[in-house]
Amino acid sequence: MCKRLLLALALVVSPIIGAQAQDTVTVGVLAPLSGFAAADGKSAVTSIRLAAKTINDRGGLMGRKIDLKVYDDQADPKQAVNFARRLVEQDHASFVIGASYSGATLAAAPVLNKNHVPMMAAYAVAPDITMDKPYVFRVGLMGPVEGRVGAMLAGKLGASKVGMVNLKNDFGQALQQGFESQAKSQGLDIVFSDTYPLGNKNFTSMLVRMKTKQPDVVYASGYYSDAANLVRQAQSVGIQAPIIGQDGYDSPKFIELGGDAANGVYITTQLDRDSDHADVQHFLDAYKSETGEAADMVGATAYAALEVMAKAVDQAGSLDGDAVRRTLAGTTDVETVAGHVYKWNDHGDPIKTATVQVIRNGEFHRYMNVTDQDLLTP
Amino acid sequence: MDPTVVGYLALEGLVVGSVYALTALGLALVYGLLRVLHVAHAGVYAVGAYCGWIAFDFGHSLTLALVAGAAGAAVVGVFLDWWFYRPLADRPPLVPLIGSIGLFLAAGDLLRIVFGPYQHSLPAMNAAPLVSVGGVTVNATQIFVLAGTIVLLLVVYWISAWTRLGLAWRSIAQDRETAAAMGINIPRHTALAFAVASAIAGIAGVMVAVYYNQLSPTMGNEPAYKTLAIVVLGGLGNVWGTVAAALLLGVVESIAGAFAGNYFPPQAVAFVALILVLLFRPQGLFGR
Repeated sequence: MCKRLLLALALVVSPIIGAQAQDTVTVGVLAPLSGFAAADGKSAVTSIRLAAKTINDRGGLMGRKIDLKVYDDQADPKQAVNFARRLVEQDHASFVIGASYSGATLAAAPVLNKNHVPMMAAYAVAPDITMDKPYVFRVGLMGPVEGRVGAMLAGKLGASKVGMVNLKNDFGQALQQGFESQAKSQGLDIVFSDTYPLGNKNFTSMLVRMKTKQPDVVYASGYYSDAANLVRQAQSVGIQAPIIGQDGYDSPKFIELGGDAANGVYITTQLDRDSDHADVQHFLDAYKSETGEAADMVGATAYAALEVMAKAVDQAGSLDGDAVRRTLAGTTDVETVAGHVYKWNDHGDPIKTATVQVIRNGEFHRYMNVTDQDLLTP
Repeated sequence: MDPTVVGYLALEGLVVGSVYALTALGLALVYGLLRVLHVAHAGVYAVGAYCGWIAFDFGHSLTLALVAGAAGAAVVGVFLDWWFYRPLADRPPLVPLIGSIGLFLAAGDLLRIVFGPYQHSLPAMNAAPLVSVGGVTVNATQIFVLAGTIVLLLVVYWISAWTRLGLAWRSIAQDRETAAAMGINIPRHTALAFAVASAIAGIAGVMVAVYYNQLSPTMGNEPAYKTLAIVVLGGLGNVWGTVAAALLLGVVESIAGAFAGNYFPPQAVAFVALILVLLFRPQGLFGR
């Protein structure tokens, strides 16, 4: 009796469950929610959830709701590979948002590419992520491009002598390479250049040696907590030259930790706080009311990654990996919360606008937007 | 070499070395009494910084932050002695050592879970130059760390040389059984040593948080391994040797970072020195 009842129940319920599965689109997310990169992972996942909510509220993807499958890869390549496999084999994800660091994203990308599951990388900078992988795309700025924009800005600020402080990892090296090549073509004189390891706290001696060369502008790559120390110590040793940073500085935490010394710092980045674009203001407001904190570049690129994929699916009218990939490759002029994408190149890297923000009275504000496509092409 | 560069290197080295000294000092004190490497001491240091941060957020007073950092860390230190080290006193020394490493890791994760993975700021002072000494600009945070360290070292010197508490510590360190036979209450004096050592580490945590205007759940990681190297360099359990080794390490790291940072990470200085000392002078630089 009992068994028969269960069977009847199962027969009644199973079509409902099945129907529900049909009504949703599974989207995979890889992000570092614990470990050293946990702060960025939290920002990225919060933003992706906001993007999913926005898309679902306006009717979902081809009439189906987005169901996010979020995995904590701890920014660890080994974890990322395992979770990429799980997303393909168990979750049957329609596409994946790579909201992790370069190493982890680089490890997950081949698994997804091989299984023809499209991936959109958010803020990872390593060039190899998209290389020879037709199903892997990126929405964030490339390191060398940002470096070139930094050199352009140095020239715009009237500099002829530049002092460089470079982070010794793939991010810092990509920036350095871009900056140096552009500086050369603009005739900027690099009077000082030195590198530091990730997590370095004491920049004083480096800055003092730089100061003796009297640069007009300081170009310093790094992430916000190291960069906050750097700008404080530059103030302490009396360096008056403006400091140019990049999207590694782009966090309200930089302003909090840098304090007074953060004012006047320029950064080349992707989230224009002063944009009058409705989506950007919607994102900034939604993030603020969700978390009580100001949004950052990592969140903006993660939000943009899901936004762009949703547009591609809608345009393709299909969730098929091949159709989505072809649509993306042919897409031009997409406005995102992380800048305007003109198009994607053959590798799947974006040619997109950058923005220069300057910190005034403890807030990021637009200094200028960069739209010169020659400068922005990877 | 430009003399102002040397001046800045020495200043930076002394500030960093001061903090090493304050954290390693407690480790040396505890080792002297218990013969145990109290790795979790670096966790106590981080807890002290967080206590100071909470107090500063609450009262916007640096004095309050320092008091809270010292008090919070002292309570945790005494608790660890009573609840953790005392029950393990009769086990082989490896047992409390491994447990201590576990406690240290747990402390970092606990701070992360409770207060989030983000860095927090303790904006008690800004970094603008305050005075210039022979072309070397010194800011308020540097004066704060250096002056605070001198005061704390004088206090520790006073306790150890001029009080009955210090006398008791020295006698326990020299010969535990005889000290006990002379009527010295060993558990009570050990608990007091934990209180003093932890309070100093807590103040050091607050000082670092003010100096860098940053504190994070992982802030204890660097002191955790560096203080181990420092207490060995200083001659295990030798408090003043430890202080000298800490200041020396700070200055050497600063110079190494400036001139060889690209080829040789300054973080490695402590380990190279540790290996060399263990090979050629196992009693420590300042041991007898």
